[in-house]
Amino acid sequence: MATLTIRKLNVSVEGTMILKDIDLVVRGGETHAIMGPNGTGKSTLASAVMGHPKYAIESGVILLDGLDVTHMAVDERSRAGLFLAMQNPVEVPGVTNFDFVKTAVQARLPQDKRLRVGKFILAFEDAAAKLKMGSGLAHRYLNEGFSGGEKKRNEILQMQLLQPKIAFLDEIDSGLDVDALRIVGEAVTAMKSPTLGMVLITHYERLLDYIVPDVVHIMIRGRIVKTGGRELIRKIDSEGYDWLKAELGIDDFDERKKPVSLGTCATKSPAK
Amino acid sequence: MKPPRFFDGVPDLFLRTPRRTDDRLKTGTLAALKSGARFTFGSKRQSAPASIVLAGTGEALTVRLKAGEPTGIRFFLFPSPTSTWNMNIIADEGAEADIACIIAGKSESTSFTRFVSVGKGASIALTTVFLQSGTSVVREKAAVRGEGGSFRSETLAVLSGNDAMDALQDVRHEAPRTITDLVNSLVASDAASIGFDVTGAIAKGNAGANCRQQNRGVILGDGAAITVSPKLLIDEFDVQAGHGCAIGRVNADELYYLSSRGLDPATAKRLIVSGYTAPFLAAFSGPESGKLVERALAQKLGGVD
Repeated sequence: MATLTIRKLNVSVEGTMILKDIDLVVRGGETHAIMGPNGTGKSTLASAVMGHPKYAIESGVILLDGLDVTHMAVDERSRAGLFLAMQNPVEVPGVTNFDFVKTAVQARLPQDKRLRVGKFILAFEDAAAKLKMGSGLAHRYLNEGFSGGEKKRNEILQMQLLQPKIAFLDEIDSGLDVDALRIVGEAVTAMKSPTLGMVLITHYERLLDYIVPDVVHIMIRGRIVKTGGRELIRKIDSEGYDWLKAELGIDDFDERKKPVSLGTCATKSPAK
Repeated sequence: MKPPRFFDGVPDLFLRTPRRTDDRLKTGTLAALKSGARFTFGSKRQSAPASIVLAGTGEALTVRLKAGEPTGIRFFLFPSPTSTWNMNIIADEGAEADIACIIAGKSESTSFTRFVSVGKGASIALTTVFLQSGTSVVREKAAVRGEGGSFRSETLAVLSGNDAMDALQDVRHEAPRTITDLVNSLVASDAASIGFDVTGAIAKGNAGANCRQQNRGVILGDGAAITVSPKLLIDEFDVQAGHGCAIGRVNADELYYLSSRGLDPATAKRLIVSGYTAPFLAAFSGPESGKLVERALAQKLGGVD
């Protein structure tokens, strides 16, 4: 059973500390939801775990099945079993979806083992059909010209074929209409297994109607301030996040919003 | 580089190396002139493009395209360490041709000169792939001389190591309602350098002409450089013309995205570059010739990291 362990993780971006003392343990078979208002560091956590070069890990450790991946290269983390379904998947012109995913699956195999292409084609087509992605998907350039919903579904398709141990799904609900949300939700739920741990990042509860989490965390100002069960989703749904302000004794969730002086207007008396 | 053996099984072929000549052309005729070889196409229907395979120190070639049947020709040029290639392509009124040309192999110095003349209503599509090593000088000139003539040229140049290429492309609209379209895709890795000077000119009196240029380059090595100088010289009001140029390193966001799926940086870069090269592989029909181009590309880009 896969286990992701994050201990006392502190992450900065361009000198600004974003994540503070994050502790999180995700085991295979578990689905965690990280919720919170905009700009509180949810996506930063996902990107830092994946190893995005923009995010500097100042201290703390990330362990995947006991293997320290804290300072591993992005591709090594991926091959070790981490996956991030991105909020804004990048368009790569000229590279077909099929070639890309095939190369990614091949990269996971031992060097002396070749991918069985026939079997892979069937798996690709099956995954695309389940996500209702249309028959031309394989030959379309990676995310180029895809609608927002198609991009998100394409992320889930990759996740299905790459079979990670731990997957972060960063706002996969954004850009999805009701039907697409249901399709994605059902596909992700179908992937639930003891060999896969999932972390859903969202600030809307509607995704969690389709993918039911076991554990819910609320992140505010770069910290996980509350962890509980599904009752937290209901509370956020009915009351928003404001109740936390009183509980945490803060005025604003976004600590970057500090009042600053822009200077004093120079005034000049009209000439007499 | 010797021509691979699979050419022996190609039916519509002319092959010349320093050791042998094999003329099995079925859809074209060959005449040996003092100035070099002269091929004529267009009078016979083709089921597949004809192949012209040349290896050595270079040739002077003239390709005459007659109106009649659409023509497909695939040139495979394998240069010796020093080589000079001169190619004239003359498209008669109404001629239609799709010509692909690849130069590949180890070389120290290559000179490639091509002149294309497009007659009234003729249509020429050229695909050119430069994969040779060493220093190369490329001089290309196209004149669209007849009303309604069109000329499209797509060029891929992939350079690595200390390769250097100096290219000059000059396209002239010499008749009304003519169309030209130049697309250059340039890849420089290691310490390679590529310079393209591209000119499109519409002379006075040639109303309705449409002149387009697109240039894009990807730089893969810290010591690599690509310089493109696109120019339009327009001397007529009622025309359409445009040029564009985009040169840069591999996009960091693309690289991160591909890496996040387990592709090591070298593989990720190779895949991104394949986005440039894939359309050119398709121009060399036939699985064997496609593989030949693919292998030559892999040799050039094997050191991407």
